[in-house]
This record gives sequence, C-alpha cells and structure tokens, in this order.
Amino acid sequence: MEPDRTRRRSPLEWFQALDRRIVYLLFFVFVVGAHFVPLYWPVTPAKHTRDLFNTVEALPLDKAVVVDSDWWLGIRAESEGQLRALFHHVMRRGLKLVIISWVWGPEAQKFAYDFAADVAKDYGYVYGKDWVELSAMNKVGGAELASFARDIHGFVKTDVFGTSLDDKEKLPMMANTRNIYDIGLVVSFSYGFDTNWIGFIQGVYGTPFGVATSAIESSTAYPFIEARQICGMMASAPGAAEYEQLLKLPANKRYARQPVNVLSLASVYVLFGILLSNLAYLRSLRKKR
Amino acid sequence: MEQASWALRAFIFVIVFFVLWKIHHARSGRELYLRKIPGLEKVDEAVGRSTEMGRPIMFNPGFIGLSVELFCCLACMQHVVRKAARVNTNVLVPVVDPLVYPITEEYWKDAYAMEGKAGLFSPADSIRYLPGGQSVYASSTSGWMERERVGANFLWGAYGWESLFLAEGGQRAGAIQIACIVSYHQVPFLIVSCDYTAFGEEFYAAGAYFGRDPVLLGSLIGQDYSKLLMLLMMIIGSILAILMATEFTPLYMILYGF
Amino acid sequence: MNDKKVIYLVVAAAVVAALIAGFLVQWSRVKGNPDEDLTKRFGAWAAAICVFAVFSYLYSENAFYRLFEHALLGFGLGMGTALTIQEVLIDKWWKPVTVAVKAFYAGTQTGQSYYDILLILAALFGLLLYFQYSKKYLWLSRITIGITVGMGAGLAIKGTAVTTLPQITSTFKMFFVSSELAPSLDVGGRALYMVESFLLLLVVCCVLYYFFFSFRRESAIAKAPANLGRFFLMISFGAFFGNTFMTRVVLLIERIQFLLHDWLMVQ
Repeated sequence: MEPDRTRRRSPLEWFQALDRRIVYLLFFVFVVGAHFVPLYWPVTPAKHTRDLFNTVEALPLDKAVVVDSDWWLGIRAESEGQLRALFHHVMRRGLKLVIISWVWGPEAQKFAYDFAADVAKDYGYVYGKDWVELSAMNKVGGAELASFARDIHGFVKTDVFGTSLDDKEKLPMMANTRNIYDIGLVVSFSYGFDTNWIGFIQGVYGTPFGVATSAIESSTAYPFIEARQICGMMASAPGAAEYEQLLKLPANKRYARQPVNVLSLASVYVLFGILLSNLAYLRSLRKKR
Repeated sequence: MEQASWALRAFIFVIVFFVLWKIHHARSGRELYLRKIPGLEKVDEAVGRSTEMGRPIMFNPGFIGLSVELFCCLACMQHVVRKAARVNTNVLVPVVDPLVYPITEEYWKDAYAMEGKAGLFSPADSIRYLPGGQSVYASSTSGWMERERVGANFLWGAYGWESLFLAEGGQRAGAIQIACIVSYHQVPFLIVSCDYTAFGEEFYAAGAYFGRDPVLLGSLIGQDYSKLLMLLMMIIGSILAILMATEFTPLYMILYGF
Repeated sequence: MNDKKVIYLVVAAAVVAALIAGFLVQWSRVKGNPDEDLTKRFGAWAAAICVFAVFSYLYSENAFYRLFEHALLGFGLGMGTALTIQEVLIDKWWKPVTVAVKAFYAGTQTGQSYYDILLILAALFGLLLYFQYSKKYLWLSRITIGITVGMGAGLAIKGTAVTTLPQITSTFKMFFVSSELAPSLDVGGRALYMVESFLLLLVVCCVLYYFFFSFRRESAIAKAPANLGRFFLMISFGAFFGNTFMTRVVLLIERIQFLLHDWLMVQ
C-alpha cells in the first residue's frame, strides 16, 4: 500500500524517522557548545569517595603511597582529574609517592609523570627525594605483583629514567621503600581495575587498596567495596570532582569540573532523546493496533 | 597459598572435587542434562540466512587471550565453521593476540577438514591478525565487515567499548547478529543492538553446549553444584548471623551458655 | 573524467588548501611563543585530521576513513613491535642477562645474578613458539603454550580464590538489627539496612539460580526464581548502561577538549 504523502507527519513521527547521522551531528555540536556553558552544579561527595579520602588522611607519614597508572589516553578527561586530585592530597599530607606504570601504557607513564611534576611545584616536592616513578612493568597474570610485593628493587630495578633504585644519591626515597610493608596504600588509576591487586596484594598482605576507575567499571567495584576489599573509590570524572571538593581546591586547580559539567549537559540531551524516541515508539504501537 | 585459611582451602577442595566427579561422569558416557539456552539455538538460523544471501559469516572472538575463555570460544567457533562448511560459506575471523592466532587457524582448518572441505577457503584471507589495541581492532573489523557485507556476525568473547562499534558495523552491513560475551558491562549495548544475546556463565555453557566435550560438560555441571553449595552457604550464613548476633539471641545462648 | 569526479577533486583540493592555510595562519600567530614549536603544531594538526577521518565513519564507510584505519593498524603494529623490543626484550631481558653473564665471568656475581641468568632459559622457551610454523616439530611449541596456560590457570585460581570467595561471607547479612548492634542508626536507618540486606541476599540467590544449567526447571515454582533473577539482571544492566554511557561521552569529551584546546587553541 502506498504511503499517504499528503498527510503531514506529527513531530514524534518526524523524530522517529530522523536519520541517525543528524542525531550524531547534533550531539557533537551540543557537546562542543556545552564546553562554553559554565553551569557548575554543586557536588556532594559519595560515601566511597569520602572513604578513599579518609584512608589517605589517616595514613602514617612513614608509609609510601603507590599510584598504579594503568589508563589510556581516551579516558584522560576522567583520569587527569582523578590523578591530580590524589597527587594534591598525597603531597599536601607530605606522604612519599611511588608511581608505577606498564609496558603497554606508555602514554599513562608519561602523563602521570607530567601531572605529578606539575602538582609537585605547588608543594615543593623533589623528584627522587619525595616522589619517584618506576620503570614500566609487564603484566604476567599477577605474578608481577607478587614479585613487586616481595622485592621492589630486585624486580623493577630502575626508575623511569633508567636510574638504579639502589642509587641513594639520586633516589634517596627508595632506600626506605623496598617491599609491600613500606607501602601504606595502593591506588589504581585505570579504565577497569585489575583484580590481581586484590588477589595478590590486598588479600595477601592486607595493604589498603583504592581505585579510580572509569564510570563503566565503577559498577563492578561495588561488590569489592561491600566486602571491604576496596577501601574507597573515585568513580569517573564526578568522583574526581567530589575528591576536589573534599580537598577544597581553588577553582583553577579543579580539573574535573569542566568534564563533569559537559557530562551533565550531554546526559540531558540523551535523556531527552530517549524520552522522545520511547514516546514516538509507543505512539506508533498504538497506531498499529 | 600461605595466607589461605583452612575454610578457603576446604572450599577449593570441594569445588575441585565436584568438577572432577562430573568430568568422570561425562567421560563414562552418562547422559548429562543441559537446559536450552536462548540465543545459542539461533546459530543455525544465522548460518542458514547468511548462506541464502550468499555472504560470508564473521566470527569475532574479541580480546580473548590464552585462557579458559579462549577454548570455550574456539569450541563454539568450530561448531559455527562446521555448519558453514556444510553449505560452502566462508567464516572470517579477526584475531588480536599473536598467541591466539595459530591456535585459531588450527581450529578453523580442522573444522573445514572435518566436513571434507579442506582448501575451500584460504586461512590467510579469512583469519586476520589485528594488533594495536581496541581502536585498531574496532575500526579494522568494522571496515572489514562492511566491505565484505557479512550476512551473520557472531560477537563471541571478551569486549570493551568496541562492542557497540562492532555491532553498529554489523547492523550497517545488514547482518544477523548473535552475541555471547563474557564481559557483562557490555551486555546492555549488545542486547539493544544484536538480535540474540547470551551473557555471563552462558558463554562458558556455550562451549559445552556445542562441543559436548566431556571435560567442558563435566566442568560446567561441577560448577553448578559449587554454585548450589554457595547459595546454601549464603542462606545458612545469613540465618546464623541473625541467630548469633548478640549474647541475647537463642543460638548464642545455647552454644555459650546463659 | 566525469563531472562527479571533478567535483570530488575540487572539494578535496579546497579542503587541503584550507587546512594548509589554517596551519600557516595559526603558526604565524604562535611562532614567538616559547611553549610552542613547529613539531607540536604539526602534531596537533595531524591528530585533528585523524580525528575527523575516523569521525567520517559516522556518515558512511569511505576511502578517507579506510586510509586512516589502515594507517592506524600499521601504527599500532609498529608501536607494539617497538615497545616489545625496547621495553621488554632490551630492558627486561638483554640488559639483566648481559650484566649477569659479565658478573659470572668476572666472578662478581650476586644473588640476583643467579635469577637473571635463568632468563636465558625463559628466552629458549619463548623461541619454541616459533615451531608453530613447522609441521614436523609443532609439538615443541605446545610445551610453551602448556606452560603459559598452566601458569595462567594457577595464578587465576589463586587470584580468584582470594578475590572472589571472601565475597561469599560478605553476603551473610543480618536481617534484623537491634539498637544494641547499630547504636548510630535510628529506626529509619535500621529499617533501611534490613531492607537492603534482604534485597542483597534475594538478588544474589536469584541471579545464581538463573545461571544453573544442569537442573531442570519445568514447574512454575522452579521457574520463578530464574525469572526474578533475569529481572534483577536487567535492572543491573540498566545501571551498567548508564555508567557505560558516561564513559563513552567522556571519550568524546576528551577528543573535543583536544580539538578545542590543543588544535584550535581556544581557551
């Protein structure tokens, strides 16, 4: 039967027939425009973010904090805010910082160093004396973490510049950071956290383990938080914004604010789209009947 | 495991016992029941439809490394390839792991040989090695899917964000799509974009479902018994937690006196 | 040459000319800035072109996208090879082995040298994998595959046992909480805790039941927990969907921030 071209389509029918490419283009334009709309909604820190914050607050000063930089450049909008927030907290407290990275994540290694060096300027932190980035490790199903826990110097051997960890002149901090017992907290920054940290470090030695993940993996962390295997979590850019709120950082140091703002506005677009398309679909079902 | 408690050791021993017991049953030829899994029954329909359209099939193992999941995936791949071989249809397989590539090639060639169709298609043209991460895999596989205009797309393995990218590519190519994935946070996307979806434990069940290998079948059923044990432990544990809550609760009083 | 091809060529030439002009205008503005150099600017423009090339796939699969797709594949392969050689073979194998061999030769070996010399054996096992290409000696490659799979399985069992099994005990919840057990909670708080605990146990049990494959479910009573489990799974997938959407938008935000700040240099 030929479609009735003389009948005008309702707005919902027109919306349902919209080419998906126009939807993509509109979304792109909307997200670009959202960068210029400074609507900063108030942020209420979630319980898991406060738990991570309190764990760092309660750490004794003779223990180091290990930051596992295991993310990739695509989630920089989440990870940069998270990393900078934690670096601010660790350096403000005067804790020693050890950054570890992986062979298949050279950009995470580079950017973690850059962010730490940038934040270190605010607190007078000196590389080698107060913070160190170790050379990249290779993932071998968890065996690398077991070796790392037993003997950091023997397993990793050098820092990211190739300096031996036993060099007391260039890396004095590492003289007292030799194994897991010298570490007070491990925080993993990744797209999805590696459960081997729980299996080989937290579950075995009891070292507190925190995560800063992308939103997609934050849901999978809840069973571990419930079982107290993870002491706290920064979930995506909102988690970073919450952490910055807890630290009471000045506006120019809050890197997570803009991504969270854009994310909120983008969510409005998607919610609007989902509502309209569902209404259009229900109307078309009713018409068929 | 020097830090394991006696309870954990006993629990692992019980799980291993269940699995070995059921493998022994499967090997002894006993009939073992497996319920129907929706989604997996549509594999034949997908192969048939692709053949009718005269288009190849694509089987995506995703980001599976050398692990248990790989052998479940390959058992399913072999089942699909055998079905396709019977109707002279090509099966395209993109692979990301260099260790997985030769194993996949062996299973693929064996599947065609089992149906007497060895040499019908060239593995060099049908199995592609796509290293370099998710972005490369997603863009290359999507492009390949669209250029070959595949008739059926099997998303069978472990995926990250590229799952929807691949499903979109399959939709554009007009393929019927069946997903069976390990990573459950991609499931919502595949449910809305694929025709049929199986997830979680059903992935491991699929290996036993198609292959009927005694080891896979016995492992699956042994795991069912372990899950039943865990379920009972949770219920009993919760009841005991209430009964032992304080010194005023009846069980506490019975055990430790008034 | 037909009209359509002429139009495509003219449009392509115009786009290339616009890109070159844009680059030259921008470079002339930032030339004096000490934080900027030609390679950085060129890199930003090249990356921006790659971004638009990949985004063009959203319109349709085209030659421009295909060109960059193959370039990305080549880049990924090259980068992977370079990383494997530099970070793994040289840093993690060649350097420790040569240091250990020199130490043994000079008689100055330490405890670490004994471990590092064993890396030669590890390399031999790795080389056995190349026998995949030989029909006669294929069985040698299976030794390495067997070791890798066995090691992976052993590590996975240990990791899973310590990671996942303790979560069973975390599901032992108390349904009835008195004020003595939770003095910090008021009546409403205790009621909420009880509802949450009951819901947690119900959901875990129903979802576990859904994934039973070898027990028959023929009666309505046997099917009910499975249906409930599937219902709860769909709710959780909705939550995953929402979180996954957030991550996907963040990926887009990151690229747009690059285009605005690093490419167009918009503050």
